[in-house]
Amino acid sequence: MKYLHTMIRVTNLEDSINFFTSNLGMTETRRIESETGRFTLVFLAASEDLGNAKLNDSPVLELTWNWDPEEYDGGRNFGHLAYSVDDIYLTCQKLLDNGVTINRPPRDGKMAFIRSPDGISIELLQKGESLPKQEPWSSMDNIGVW
Amino acid sequence: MRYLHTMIRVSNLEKSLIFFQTLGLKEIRRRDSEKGKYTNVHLAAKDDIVSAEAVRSPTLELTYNWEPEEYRGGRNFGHLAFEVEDIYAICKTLIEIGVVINRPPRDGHMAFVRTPDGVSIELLQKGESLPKQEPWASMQNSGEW
Repeated sequence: MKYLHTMIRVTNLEDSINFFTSNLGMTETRRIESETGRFTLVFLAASEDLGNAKLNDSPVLELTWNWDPEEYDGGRNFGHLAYSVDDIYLTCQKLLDNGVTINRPPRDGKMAFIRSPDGISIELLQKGESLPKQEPWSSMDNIGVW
Repeated sequence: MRYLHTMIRVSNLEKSLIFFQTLGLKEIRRRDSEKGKYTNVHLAAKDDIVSAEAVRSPTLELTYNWEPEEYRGGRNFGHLAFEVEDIYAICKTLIEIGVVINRPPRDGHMAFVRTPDGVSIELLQKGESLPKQEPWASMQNSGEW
């Protein structure tokens, strides 16, 4: 038995692909369009997972875009998706530059939370040891919930 | 960047562990926080255990908050998917512990079930689909997934 993917639904495929690729450096590995089901599935892999994802379809993030417009709300049974990053400050700076709210800034040089365009909570964790505390991050306040 | 885990909240840790252990996941790490009044349990699928222990990925994190909460789902989250060795055998084992197979593996390929807190789980047969087989081939869907 093996983990394959986590699927999330997206209201705007282009915005969501852009969110995960431009901000987080993920790569599209596979796409399925279904005329009969009126949906598009896009599979994305994080940079260090790319080799494995191309070979085994795992671990990947699956975006489901239903062609008929829907609005998505969140529920508390799902918590978040977590990714390790090489430099949490650089990643968060890029997110800020692209207009993404850092709900939980990496004050500790270790952990941050953001949300996808459809409100999916994403945890970013510094790879290895926490980075030294650093402004403007160490005094940045939380925004909203995650 | 590397995928680490998906976290889901569970209202009853014991029930959730029985569910996931029946599916074939193993507990690899647990942390109790007296201060935060929660327990985190990380589970890994059998074929992911080596990787999960070496690089903490890929795992499923269960968060159990000690103060009772009821959890409902939302449509932005879809499901978690796992590949299984024998989709009929695993569905049979799940039925035996009282799990409803929302989408039975009629095609020998795909099934959907829900965790005790309503998180949708997709099971996919490893490799080629199994030959169609009763009672699965004529089993009706039950509810949503």
